[in-house]
Amino acid sequence: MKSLLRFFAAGKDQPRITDTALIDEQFRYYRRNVLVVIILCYGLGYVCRLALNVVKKPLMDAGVFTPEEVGFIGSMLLYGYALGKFSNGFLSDYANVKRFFAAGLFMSAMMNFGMSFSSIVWVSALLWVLNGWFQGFGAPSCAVALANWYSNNERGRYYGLWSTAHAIGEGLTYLGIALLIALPPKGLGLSWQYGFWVPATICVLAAAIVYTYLPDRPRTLGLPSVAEWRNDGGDKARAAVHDAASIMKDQLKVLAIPSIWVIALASSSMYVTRYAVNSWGNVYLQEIRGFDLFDANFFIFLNTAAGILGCVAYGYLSDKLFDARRPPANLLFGLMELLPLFVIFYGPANTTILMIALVVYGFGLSGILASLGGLFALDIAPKKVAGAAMGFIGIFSYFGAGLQDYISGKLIYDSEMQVVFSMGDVTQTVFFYDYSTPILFWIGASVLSLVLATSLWKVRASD
Amino acid sequence: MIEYRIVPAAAVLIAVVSLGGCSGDDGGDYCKHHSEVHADHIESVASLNLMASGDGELSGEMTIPRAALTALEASDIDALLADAGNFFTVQSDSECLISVAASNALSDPIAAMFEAHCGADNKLGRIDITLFDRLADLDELEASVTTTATAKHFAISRQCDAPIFRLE
Repeated sequence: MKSLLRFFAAGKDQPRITDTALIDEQFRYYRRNVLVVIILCYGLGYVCRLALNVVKKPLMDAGVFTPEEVGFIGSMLLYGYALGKFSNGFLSDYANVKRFFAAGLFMSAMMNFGMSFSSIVWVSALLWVLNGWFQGFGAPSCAVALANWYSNNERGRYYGLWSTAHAIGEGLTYLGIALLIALPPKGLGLSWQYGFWVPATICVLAAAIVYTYLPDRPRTLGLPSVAEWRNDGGDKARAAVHDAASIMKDQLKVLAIPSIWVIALASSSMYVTRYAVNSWGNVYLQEIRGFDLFDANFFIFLNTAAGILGCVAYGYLSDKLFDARRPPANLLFGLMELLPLFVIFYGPANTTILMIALVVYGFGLSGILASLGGLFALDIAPKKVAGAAMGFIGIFSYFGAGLQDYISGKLIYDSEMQVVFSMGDVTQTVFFYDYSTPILFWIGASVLSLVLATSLWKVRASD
Repeated sequence: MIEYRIVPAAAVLIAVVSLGGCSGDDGGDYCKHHSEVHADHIESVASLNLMASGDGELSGEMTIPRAALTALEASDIDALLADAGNFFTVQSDSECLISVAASNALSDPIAAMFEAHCGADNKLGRIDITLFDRLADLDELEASVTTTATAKHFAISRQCDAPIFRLE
């Protein structure tokens, strides 16, 4: 155990390099490595997180799992991720992030390999909860790497660049993995197992890249801190944060702020819809709307891609148009999220309209999520415990998302009708589902979220 | 001078992933590429149209080419079409009343219309189609099944392990 902890611990400070030219050269090299590696590999890691979403329908069609079982397994990842976000955030502060991040990616890959061989519900659920936990190694590692190699006054824009990484992963999954599984001529028509094997291979290689190219802290390489190198005083800020161990007491006070509870509930409800569409949307589009696997996943990709713009637009519009007041922007983006849902689920059977609705939905969703999970919460929470508020809302949100996956799966399974063709001992089965009730659940969650968010119309930013 | 090794590593990553994506599992060409041959043998394929109305009512039509009935005498065909239970059963919360509404044993293909009355609050859990068990010479069936929520069009072939959804 001790040797394991030693392996993951951050390295010791090395004697300082004195050659300033070499310091500059090394900083430029490692900073570029950090940025490329965290964007590329965090994005690639997403493939191991989303693989199940793409192969859900093939798994159900093959009779490996029922929708209820797939929903249960899917929810496990979200619970594991919520737990991982909580625990790994603390751990990563003390870790050599290249080993920590690489280990998370490698273990996530192993969980995906395992999933391809499992047709037992509890085994798959166990693998997937662990996958969620290992996936939780990524974000804190990347955040720590950014903090170590980019100083305060430049971190915002590099953080923004890194935030686009999930689009790489979602694109690679919803387009790339779908391409492998979809039937010819659009896809290669490979079996559903490839939907786990290829992501696992990608994550193993991503782990190798992280392990090879992501550096530990600058001081472990004989370099000064980035704040010293850039001369911007960021170290003092970090030191202040680390010195404040007693802040724990204040953090608990977050739980006494009613607005934080309302935001947590609103965010959790919005996560229900977000993960319902991301997890079940492609299955719905195939089952009910008759799209093939590739097209269905392409549509889901569109909504996630539009989300990148939604995040940026929310921040800009709420600052410029509403004078940094979030509630009006919440209402605007919330309606942009909610109204397209009616078009997606009850609108005309027109592919162009569906695509536009998904793009607007993704745009609105990301905007309001940026607020509920970040900006709005930061406005309301006292600044010194903003991190605790974010953590609380994050856990609440992923718990809602996980619960959604199971409830959706159960509701879909309850509507199941099978048409079974028997040929002696062999049978071929076609499954039919009715999504009416789950759709009400998903839209209802968005309505609830919007009502809760709007109820904070008069709440002012603290500090 | 420090060398940048990330590009070759990314190239290796892409190459390995591409190889992984392109390898293996190309068996079962008849089933995977069935759309290429389906139109050519449509005359020898049985058809089944099922419609579940959502209020416990199920209606259906089927046709079977005579080529799939060579082992049967005329009286066997009459007997087959006389009882809907010979080619389908329904599993639901409570019992369904199934019957043949109309049939034509003399045409080619032979045809039958059948229905099941299961009651408004009776959820249809499973419909068993037993034609392949009854007709050893029946190789393939093209089916359209419509529910209140969705419609699916597919083929069932003895030569394939799973339903074929891509027919065109």
